[in-house]
Amino acid sequence: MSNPQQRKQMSVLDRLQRFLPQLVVAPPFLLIVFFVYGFIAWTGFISLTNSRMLPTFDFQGVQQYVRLLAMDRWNVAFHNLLIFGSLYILFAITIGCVLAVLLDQRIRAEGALRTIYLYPMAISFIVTGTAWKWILNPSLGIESYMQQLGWESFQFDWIVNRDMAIYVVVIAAVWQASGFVMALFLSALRTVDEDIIRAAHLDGASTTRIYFGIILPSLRPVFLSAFVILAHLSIKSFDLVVALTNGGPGYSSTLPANFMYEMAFRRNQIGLGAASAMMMLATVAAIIVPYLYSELRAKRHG
Amino acid sequence: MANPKTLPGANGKRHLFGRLFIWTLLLAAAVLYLGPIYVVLSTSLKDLAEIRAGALLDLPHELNFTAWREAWSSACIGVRCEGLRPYFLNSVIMSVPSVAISTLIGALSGYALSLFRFRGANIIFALMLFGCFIPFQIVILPMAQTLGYLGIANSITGLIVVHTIYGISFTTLFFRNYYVSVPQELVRAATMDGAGFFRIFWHIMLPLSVPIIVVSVIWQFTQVWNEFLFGASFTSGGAQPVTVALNNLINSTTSVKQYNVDMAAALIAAAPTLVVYIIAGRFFVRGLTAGAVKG
Amino acid sequence: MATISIEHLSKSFGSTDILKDISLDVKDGEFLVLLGASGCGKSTLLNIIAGLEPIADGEIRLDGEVVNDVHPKNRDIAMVFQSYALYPNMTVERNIAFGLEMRRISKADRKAAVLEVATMLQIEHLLARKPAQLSGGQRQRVAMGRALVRRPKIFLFDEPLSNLDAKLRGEMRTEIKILHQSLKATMVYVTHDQIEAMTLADRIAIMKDGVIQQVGTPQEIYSKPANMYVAGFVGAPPMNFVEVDLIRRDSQIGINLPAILKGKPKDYFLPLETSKQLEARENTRIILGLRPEMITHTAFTQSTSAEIECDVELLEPTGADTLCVIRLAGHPAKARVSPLLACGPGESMAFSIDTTQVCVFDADSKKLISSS
Repeated sequence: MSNPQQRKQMSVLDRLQRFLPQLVVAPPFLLIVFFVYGFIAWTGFISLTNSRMLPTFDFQGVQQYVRLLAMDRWNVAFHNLLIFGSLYILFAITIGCVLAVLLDQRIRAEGALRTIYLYPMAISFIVTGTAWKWILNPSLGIESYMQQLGWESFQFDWIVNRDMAIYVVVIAAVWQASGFVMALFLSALRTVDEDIIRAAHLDGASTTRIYFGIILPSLRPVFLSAFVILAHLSIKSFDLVVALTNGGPGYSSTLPANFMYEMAFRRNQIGLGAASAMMMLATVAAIIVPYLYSELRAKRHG
Repeated sequence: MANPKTLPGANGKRHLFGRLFIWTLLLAAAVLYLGPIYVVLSTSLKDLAEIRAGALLDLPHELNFTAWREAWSSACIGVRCEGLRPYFLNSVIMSVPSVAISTLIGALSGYALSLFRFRGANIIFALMLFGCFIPFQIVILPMAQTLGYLGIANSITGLIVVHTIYGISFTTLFFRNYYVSVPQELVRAATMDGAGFFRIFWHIMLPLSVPIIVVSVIWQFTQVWNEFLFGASFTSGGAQPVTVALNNLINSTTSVKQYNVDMAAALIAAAPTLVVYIIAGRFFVRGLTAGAVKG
Repeated sequence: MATISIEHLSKSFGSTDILKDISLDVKDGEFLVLLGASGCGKSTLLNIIAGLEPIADGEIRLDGEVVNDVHPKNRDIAMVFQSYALYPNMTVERNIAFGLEMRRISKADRKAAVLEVATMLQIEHLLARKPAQLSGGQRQRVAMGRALVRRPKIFLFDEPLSNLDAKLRGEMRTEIKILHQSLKATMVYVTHDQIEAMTLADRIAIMKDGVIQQVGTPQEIYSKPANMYVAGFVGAPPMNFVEVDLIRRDSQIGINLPAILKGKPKDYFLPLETSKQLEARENTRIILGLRPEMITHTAFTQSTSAEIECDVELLEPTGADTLCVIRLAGHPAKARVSPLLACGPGESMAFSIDTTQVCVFDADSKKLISSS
């Protein structure tokens, strides 16, 4: 055995080298820890106080949550989220998936069509909202245009209709996101093993049956990804409502995100705003955490 | 996709009807997607009298760029009547540094997390990844306070800091998933050649990373430029980014509604990201799907 | 001088033990091959020698000096990787020169060194190209050049030929051997290909499940495999194993070999050279190891050979030889005969078995008992 003096020691620099990856990741990681997890904790704490205009440390338990759940405004917002979220996800996935399958049929102008379907995703929600607000306004928009054309009874006044305003938000949001879902599916369709399709053709299956029986079922992970992304986007939705309906008429088309902003910045109800933000986070986490967990686990084993 | 055309017996009448059906659907969809931008564009080129006459979908009688000029330099937003220009510049000043810094940080941390799988790297990555999905309502209250403490409330600097921090999650995801597919042997070979952590990054990884850098820059730029919540929450008056200014312009109820100016302003606000999308759409799509198809 | 000495080295990833108590010495100028199936730990061992993997337990010494904590760049070792790991963004010239560049060698010296190596490997005309523009064989040469240019005292090869086609692999094998003879450098070479191991190695270390099974010259490994794993791993087609009883007949120790002649079972007695170990195991089950070439046509019968006659079930012509599949102790076994003398399937044929060459393994421990 060697004597200890003979052992070549690592230089300080080499030692540092060995820990460089950790040292490099540390600052951004700590930023995330502080600005994401620390702030979540802070908001969580504030939601348990009776803070109004300024944060206070007057602990009052779950009072804010009790108030929140008793507020009609919050219940409308949450109900809207359920309507908006489910229709948005359903239509965006259906339309995106149909467009992807159609585009997958060796369409000559595929590139141009893809660009057209996807451009709304590059535009801000504020611009989308502005555009649709103008198109759907009853006095000068599509409704009056149709009436001028001679269709006197044409009515499309959802944007000013208390019961229908949230559906207008759905229309604009689907217009914006369905192209993204199309891109997601199209890139997945391009990775489907051609041999399977050839084999199915040889077995006598029609193109339609191949899609419904073989290809689409094999895209289950893409459906899941699309679902998760759209679901969390719907919970985050804020700007579109602001620009399109500003939550109105009244507060009939508010979403939780708008509720939170209203409470925190307009009505000096910081505690209530924090409580609603925690509710939003919980909803997102319920969808995202299991998804991330399974994705990252699967990767480690595969 | 297997080409049904190449299969014998696939060229009959049924096939022709099928193609016709497909094309009808695709073109109808294209019209629906293009409709709004057409309406916005044509409205922005009409004068108010023409707009008030209805005829939403008609082409403008003549091309009239007054509304564009007004939207850019003289429309009143709040009490200032300087058009969108100062806010547009705010957005430029805000996005350039935050995009650059968050991309650089993401590249380094993605590199360290993927090619040097130290103990806990996966957990750190998962924790950072969650930051992509949080609703930002959860952080705006403490962030408003923190910006106040730091003395950068209601400033573009404040927005740069905010956008940089919350961009790190995305950029780290992009680079980490990109570098995961780089063979580990490359790092080993360079280590044997005597290169250290930063020299491997600089000499070998960065030159390989051009596509993902483009993806990250485009994604971050689109996000930061289009962002509204932070801008509305942390700035007011002259420090506002263009999205907030646009919203204020459109929702201002003071004077006669100038729809053509509103639409021109909307197009001005959308122009940079649209241009980026048209020039580099391929990378834009990759950025969108990178967040979804991890692996 | 460049010796490698590994003592009681262990390594685990999480709860899986990758290397278990490895001790191994590599002499100066020796070509040592680490041979084993994938997942046996041979590549990990190579990475540990290179310094790319930290060690949990044990010591590794280069020229007598413990280098457990020495950074790879300070070990004066070069390595050729399985995927070649060429830097895709750099030209061939810069790829080869990169190690020198990192060591702050002047540009002129780098250029001269690269040219010398490139000439030696016949890749001078490729220096301006990027790796993506090269064929597999050319990439392999560049990877070799990158290792050679630094003139390290030790070369490590991690399955360097496994991504080449069979013909190119043969050529490169020869070149590597020539290279070793001219450089006289210490080389450690990892492979799962036993032909590469046999043709290149001064000594082979066979590994399985993180344990070295045997270290020896190719000839030792082939003719005196330490256990059944080694015996089965080296040699193509692999050694035939026949489970039989060790008996004594007329004071001669030997085995009873059940074969099949004209569809009927027939037992043959095979005398074995007497040894103490064998006598101690009289009347027990043993496993007899017979390489296909030990069972051959009777034209070569020597005085030490036993003769059997049995049915041939199948023929596998390989060109130079023909393999006859026969049935010994109920299991198929292969015999190697000259194509001129092989009879057809279904016929019966006489074989001679050279009993002095056979290996006898313990049925429980699977270890070699004796082999003459």
